[in-house]
Amino acid sequence: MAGAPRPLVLGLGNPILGDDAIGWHIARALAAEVDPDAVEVDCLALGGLALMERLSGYRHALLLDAVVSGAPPGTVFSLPAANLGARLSGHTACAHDLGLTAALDLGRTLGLALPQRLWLVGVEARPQFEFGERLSDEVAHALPRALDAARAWLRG
Amino acid sequence: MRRVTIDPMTRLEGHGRIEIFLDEAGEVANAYLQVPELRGFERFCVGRPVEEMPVLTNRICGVCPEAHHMAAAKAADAVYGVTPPPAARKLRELLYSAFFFADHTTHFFILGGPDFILGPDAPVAERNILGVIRKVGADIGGKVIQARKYGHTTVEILGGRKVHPCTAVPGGMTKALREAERVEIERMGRWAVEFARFALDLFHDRVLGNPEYRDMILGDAYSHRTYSMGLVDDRNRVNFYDGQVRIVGPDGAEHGRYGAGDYREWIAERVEPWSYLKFPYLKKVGWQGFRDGADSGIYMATPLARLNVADAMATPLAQAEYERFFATLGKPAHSRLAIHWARLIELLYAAERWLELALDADITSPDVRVLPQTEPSEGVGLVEAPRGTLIHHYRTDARGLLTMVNLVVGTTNNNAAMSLSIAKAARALIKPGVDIAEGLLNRIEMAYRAYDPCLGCATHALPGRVPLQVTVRDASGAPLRVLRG
Repeated sequence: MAGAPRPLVLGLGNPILGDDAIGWHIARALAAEVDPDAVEVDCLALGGLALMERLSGYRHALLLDAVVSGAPPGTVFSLPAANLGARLSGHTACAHDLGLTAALDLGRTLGLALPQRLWLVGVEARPQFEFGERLSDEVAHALPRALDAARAWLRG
Repeated sequence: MRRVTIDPMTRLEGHGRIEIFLDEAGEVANAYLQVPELRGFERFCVGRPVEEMPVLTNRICGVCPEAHHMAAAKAADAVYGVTPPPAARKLRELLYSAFFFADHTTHFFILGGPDFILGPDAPVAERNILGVIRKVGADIGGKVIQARKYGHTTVEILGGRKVHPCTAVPGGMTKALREAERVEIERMGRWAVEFARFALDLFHDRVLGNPEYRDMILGDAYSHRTYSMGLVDDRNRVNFYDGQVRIVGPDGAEHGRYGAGDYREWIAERVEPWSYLKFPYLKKVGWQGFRDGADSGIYMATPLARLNVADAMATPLAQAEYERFFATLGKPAHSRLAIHWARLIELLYAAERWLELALDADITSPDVRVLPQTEPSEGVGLVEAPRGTLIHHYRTDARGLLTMVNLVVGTTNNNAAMSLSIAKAARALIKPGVDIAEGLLNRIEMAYRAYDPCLGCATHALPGRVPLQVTVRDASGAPLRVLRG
């Protein structure tokens, strides 16, 4: 990997919207223990198009985020981001952004250098609509497991 | 009464949806868009120092943090009774123009435009930016990404960070603009003006040049005669950052005008038992239910509304297009699909204003902050967000700690007007005895997409998409049919 760009680790979500902040928590914990010359760790409160633009220029990237899939809150997922793709086409009620898969398709169509290896470590969140800086107990307890999954990806 | 529900299945499940109520005869009685509402932000803020608000409020949602940043900074100015120096005011407006440029570009090319460039009946898998690229050429995709990049880079230079700026503070800005940075912003501004002209050429060629779409935009199908609201400068020209709010009636006559501090005299909020959302309306006209007309207090606050309330645009190229717009549509214009055209005129204005401010003699002045001297108390900050008039109202104790926060966000202004548009689209498609067609989704999306409602999408958990679901319910509330996008 000599000369290859550093992998990017991105904590996603809204840092003041309860469990939506879990990606930021994992990213901060990881940033405290990795060599910044070897891994770039950052946080982003955006998705879709802006996320795709942020990923441009990296060969390897890890997304850390809250997931809402119906699994019990606190469940940790570690999977290729492409596995999320099935839900990302069709009608959308969101009038102001693309889903990530559509955004990645756009970026690739335009010839942007997007990660060949894009992975997600996610934690099932408790759906929440109240602003606040506290994680639910289930999600807070999942933090060490999510951190292990992120470390495993960095070693791989 | 039967009920049709279009429900996004995401983190906000059960909160953001479209509901269509049918009467006993099976005709559409009413329809409502329920925009997801994140609660408790006001409570979250109480007890914090007011100067944190410009940074804190841009976390409300990932779509328009710059708008919250500006409204919060202006409210904090008012709380401390300070007027930022001219250079600070211009830096804020420059940042804000670049933000508007990137935001309007995204809406037209990624979301609203594909309905017209590919056609409203094109399959949903094609009605997107990739479909636009296939039809118009890959060059357009690169330009859109470049436009966003220039907008975000300008925000970053002035605001300290991309998208979530942090430099506007009570009394001005935390940093001045260096000459080398100004040169870079000027270069990007020149490009932005050319891009906006290209966008309008494309609109004239592909949309207005197509008789079918032209009829759709000029016709009555998506038209409502409501009041319009928007910010104007002292010569009644469109301004996004500062001025007075002007309201005109369905006939174009001025209903009234107010400064930020008086918003409560003009806007009241209707609460409906079936919705957790509020419906703002004009207090002096009154609430007459979900209908349009001069005696109904429903108004819109959109790019079209801003053009309707203004006498002119403040920049020359946008002014020429503004004249063409009203010569075609008549003034005020009421077709909701014309919001797309109005948005592109604002795109051109934002680009021209960006360049104008980059060339302003004050812009690199080091004098960018007045330190607050007086005891803080109460203040209102008001700007135009891309999606409508945005109001932040704060009250603090003598130490500047917040005791009350009230926000009226852009999209909320249009709740009632969007409901009218959705009902009209649904009425054309849902008839007694006729099966509800898949086409319902397309036409309803077009009806509310014109308003560019903010659903706070960017803050959601992955997979980060808000699919539509239509549930048709019978009189007892039991689902009869489910349509998924």
